[in-house]
Amino acid sequence: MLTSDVATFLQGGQCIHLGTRSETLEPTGVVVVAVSVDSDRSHLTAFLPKVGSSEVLANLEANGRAALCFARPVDDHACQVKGTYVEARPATKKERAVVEAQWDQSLRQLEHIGMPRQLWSGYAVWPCVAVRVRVTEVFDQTPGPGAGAPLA
Amino acid sequence: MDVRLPAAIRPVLDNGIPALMVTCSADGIPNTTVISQVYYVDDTHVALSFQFFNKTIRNVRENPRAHVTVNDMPGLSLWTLELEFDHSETTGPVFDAMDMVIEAIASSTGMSGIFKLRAADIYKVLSVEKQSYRPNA
Repeated sequence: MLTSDVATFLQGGQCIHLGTRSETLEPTGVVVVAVSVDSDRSHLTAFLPKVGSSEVLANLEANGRAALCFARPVDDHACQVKGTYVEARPATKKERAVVEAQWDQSLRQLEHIGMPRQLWSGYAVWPCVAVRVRVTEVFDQTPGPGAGAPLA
Repeated sequence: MDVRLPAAIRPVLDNGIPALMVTCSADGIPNTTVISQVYYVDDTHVALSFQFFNKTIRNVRENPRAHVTVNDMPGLSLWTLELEFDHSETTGPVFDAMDMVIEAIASSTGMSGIFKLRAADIYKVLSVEKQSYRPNA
């Protein structure tokens, strides 16, 4: 279960990446544009742009293993969530506002470190696939001596 | 037949935008992380920095496969590289060049003393693919 602080961090417009692997242990990944943590803080929904997500989705269907990296560009604070795949479905129109708000937060952070948002203007954020994951572990991933420590 | 990196990827590798890397342990647990540089070694190899003995480093020594995504924002594209860990170098021109970049990143981000290059890990390129942000646009 995620702590309240970690859940807030995950939904704070971080740079997010989802990693999976094939049956032959070949890793692959995709950018995630937003995350929503369930009220039980044991599950989260990751929103993946539909474009370019097919291989990751096939891996999740096949073996269920998921790893998500959340990195805050302004100070390099980061964590890694490990989990198991529950289901995938098309994101709804109602969820679009959440996705776009978090993506905007992420772009604001990138602007703060000198990457103008215009650079990302061509990114196909929508439509998304909503991937629900059961959280099994979470680790500190901030560069430094604490990296790798569990965040219970 | 060796896969060769196209010339068009050189400026993308040098653009200073952090890349994303996925690895997988021998028992099948994926791991993903942000990496600060993907260094062009030659047209069949790249080098990634080994700064901490972390999960990524352990994974590629158990299972040499890695997946790296680099952003080509002016080209509205992502490049994905399928890689296989080959060996580590702790001296020599590749190490020295990467060390200089790491030092520059560390000092500009207030991470001096935390970011330190332990080795340049050399990977063979197994595949390279450019994917548009908007394939239907």
